[in-house]
Amino acid sequence: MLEFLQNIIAGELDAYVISFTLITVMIVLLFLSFPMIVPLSVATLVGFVHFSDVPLENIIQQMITGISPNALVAVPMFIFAADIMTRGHTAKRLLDVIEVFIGHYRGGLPITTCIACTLFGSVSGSTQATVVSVGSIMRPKLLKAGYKDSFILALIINASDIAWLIPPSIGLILFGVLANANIAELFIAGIGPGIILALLFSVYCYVYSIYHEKSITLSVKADWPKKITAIRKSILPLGFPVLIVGGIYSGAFTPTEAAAFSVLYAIILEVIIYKKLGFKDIIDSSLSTGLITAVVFILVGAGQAFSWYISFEMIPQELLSSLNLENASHEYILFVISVAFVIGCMFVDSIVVLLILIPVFMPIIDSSGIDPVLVGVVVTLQMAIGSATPPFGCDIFTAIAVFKKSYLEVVKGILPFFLILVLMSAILIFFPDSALFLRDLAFDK
Amino acid sequence: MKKVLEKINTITAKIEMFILSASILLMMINTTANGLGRYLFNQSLYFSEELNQFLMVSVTFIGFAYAVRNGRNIRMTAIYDSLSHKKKKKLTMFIAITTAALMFFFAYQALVYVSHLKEINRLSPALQLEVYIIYIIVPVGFFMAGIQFLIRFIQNIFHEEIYLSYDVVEEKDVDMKDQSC
Repeated sequence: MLEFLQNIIAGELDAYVISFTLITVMIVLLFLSFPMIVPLSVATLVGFVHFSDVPLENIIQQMITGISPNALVAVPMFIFAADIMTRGHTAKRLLDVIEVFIGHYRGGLPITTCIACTLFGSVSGSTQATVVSVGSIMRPKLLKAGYKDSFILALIINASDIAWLIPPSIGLILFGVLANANIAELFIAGIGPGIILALLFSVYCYVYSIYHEKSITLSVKADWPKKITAIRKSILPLGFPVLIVGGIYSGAFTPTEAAAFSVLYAIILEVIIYKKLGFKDIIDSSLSTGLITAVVFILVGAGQAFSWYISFEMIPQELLSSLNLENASHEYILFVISVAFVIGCMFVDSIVVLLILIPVFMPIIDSSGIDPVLVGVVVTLQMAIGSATPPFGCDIFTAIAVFKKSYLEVVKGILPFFLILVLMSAILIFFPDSALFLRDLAFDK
Repeated sequence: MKKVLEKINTITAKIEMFILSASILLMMINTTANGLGRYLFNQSLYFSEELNQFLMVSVTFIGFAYAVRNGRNIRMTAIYDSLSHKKKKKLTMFIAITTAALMFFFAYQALVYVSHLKEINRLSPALQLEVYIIYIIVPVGFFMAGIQFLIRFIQNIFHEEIYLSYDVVEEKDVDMKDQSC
């Protein structure tokens, strides 16, 4: 014990001493509520100065390297497209078309919410945008029909998380950049699990509404003229998934280009065709996009410096060698990675967890021969679970801010959804084809 | 004096907003133009990737300063939220002044890095620009962020409420950690 402390003070170049020190520094600064860049970069600084004596300008160089991959341009572009659509009409039109067809069945309204979140996820890629746009339209309707608020809030938070898996997904883009995996393949691989998850949620909604049959009123069935209007109105917004998935699937676009084109499409739709937004709205939207992007990317930069440092000192290799993962089964490795991610994401912003844990697990992913695309989908699902799970899942806080409800009310109904998400993780780990089937089909593997 | 400072504050905010907004729009135009060029005319823009890379640097570092100005950072407030007003204020001031110091330190290191780039006269491969001219944004961004944290510290000395930046006061029950996702 004393020796360990002495090693820390002396700056002993040992993987355990270094990781213990860096993790302690991070956790202390994190819990003191420093802005996230501080724990990340101070831990790196401690490594640079105290343990390794690396020139400090390397930190800056690595920060710039971290934000340089061209694939990252897709992140602000998808945020931008989502922001324009949230200000405009797109979300409501997508919702209407689903509602006229299934809204009147038992469980129809919550199922509509699930499918709308999936569909909106396929145009936007941002969970926060999904919570805001789908949630604020559907919650009043669900309340009026007699659903309990705790169920509604949990439903909105968790269904929005399907957007993590459905392309375009910011989580998948970041994973692709960090793990050097093909983003187009990741996008296609996310579709299967996303749809299965939406189905599982829908089944739960159906069971829930049968169980609470007495207190819930059914909505009126829409007539055909109404259905046709809804279809007509949704055709243009449905162009988004066609543009994004179709463009990537056919190889016409890179994901980055698909992202930029979806911004262009969103502008054409909302400004020129629907005339809902003006030039000033687009400027406002670009500004808020820039802000959200910067908050994330400064961390991507700091994360790259951290990741460069721990790889430079070969820390992940040494730590993982003691876990005996070399000969472990793929399922076991994926299980270990999943647990690490869920626990991490319950406490810290999922992007930060991704930035720290991917470099740690990279050597084992490489040497075990697990398909990095599968790892990407598994990890992204865990990030989704973490962001919808107490204590600190960030979607919970979005819901608190948007719907002005207390923390307890928001988290009360989450457990059943959490269990479904765990089931989904198991499906993914034991039946990798649930994700890889479409990928193999699309890319001839 | 106070008026002059306020004026400077407004002008720098406007400049940051302009750079941020313009960079995002340019990124979109650049990327779509590249795609269309390749698709329609079989001709990509040779500088497209490089331009995007520069725009990302400007969005990240200018945007970071702008985010600090607006009191928007990702942080974990679990323990912070359970503290009394007085302790919250003390902690906020401590965080503001130490983070300001860290930002100035990074600004200095970035300046060292950028002047190193100038010395070796590194040119960008496609556009043949001297890269230090673009990367000068990095020290500027850190410096501006440092100034904002310093202002946060000073505002908290002179006011009863908890200030998250020059003009953003912390509201009750509003959590700022949800801004990124």
